[in-house]
Amino acid sequence: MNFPGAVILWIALALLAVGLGFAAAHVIQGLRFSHGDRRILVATLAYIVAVTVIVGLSMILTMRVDWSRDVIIGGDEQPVTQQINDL
Amino acid sequence: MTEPYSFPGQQPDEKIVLVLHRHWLPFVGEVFRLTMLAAIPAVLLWAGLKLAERSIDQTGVGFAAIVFGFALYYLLLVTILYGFWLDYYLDVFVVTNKRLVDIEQRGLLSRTIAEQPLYRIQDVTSEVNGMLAHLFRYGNVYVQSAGEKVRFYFEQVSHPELVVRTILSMTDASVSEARAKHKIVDPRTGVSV
Repeated sequence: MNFPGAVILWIALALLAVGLGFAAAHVIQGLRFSHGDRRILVATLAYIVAVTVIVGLSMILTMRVDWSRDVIIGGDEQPVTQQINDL
Repeated sequence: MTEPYSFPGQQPDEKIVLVLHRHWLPFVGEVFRLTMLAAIPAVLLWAGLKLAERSIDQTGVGFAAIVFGFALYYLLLVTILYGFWLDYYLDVFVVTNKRLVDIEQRGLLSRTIAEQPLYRIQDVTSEVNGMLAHLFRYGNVYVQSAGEKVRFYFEQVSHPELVVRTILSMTDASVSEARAKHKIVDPRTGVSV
């Protein structure tokens, strides 16, 4: 994995962390609100699962991307890696 | 699950008479709207590819951009749905034998709790607006108290007329109890009121 792919994954992970943070805060708030109410816990878990699935799917789908292939210097049709090798 | 209901600030001798959540229909409407919003970009992408007679190259950077855009969009929608649900579920109106409590969730991480003692209530009004509200029997309940400009406002609760009757009967009981306890006497006539 190279730089752009890593950046996307880092952003996705940061989003996941933010989502989980909100969810955890709400679990605590919700359980304090009405002791023993499991519906809040279930909804929060569903939210965490949904966020994880979306981020996980996007990660899996972008793993096959060849990041170096479409980056062109000066309109040349050759990829950067090819150009560097040709130097 | 039949665990006893509780709310923040409940007194030990306080009995809960009614716990009112907002009616489910407006929430279902929001879910339907979000479902439509979720379907639109996927359908547009599929139709665009069909019309252009092209398929997406799954190893290109453009594909990564599309996936990333979709992921952001759906994360946003899921978070909005979660926020709607919390707002719907954590907005609670509680009628106890002593007071009315309005617990309102504001945004994701803040909450307002307002309360009104029953003996201060002067007027309770129900309001049902619209065809769906009539069909599914939900509406608003307004509670006017002595000396207060801002009315208590129970939004989109089921059977508002029943709620009004319950609050009024609880108020009568509370006032009678207060009179019996303190023996309030009219200073002009000397008669208990």
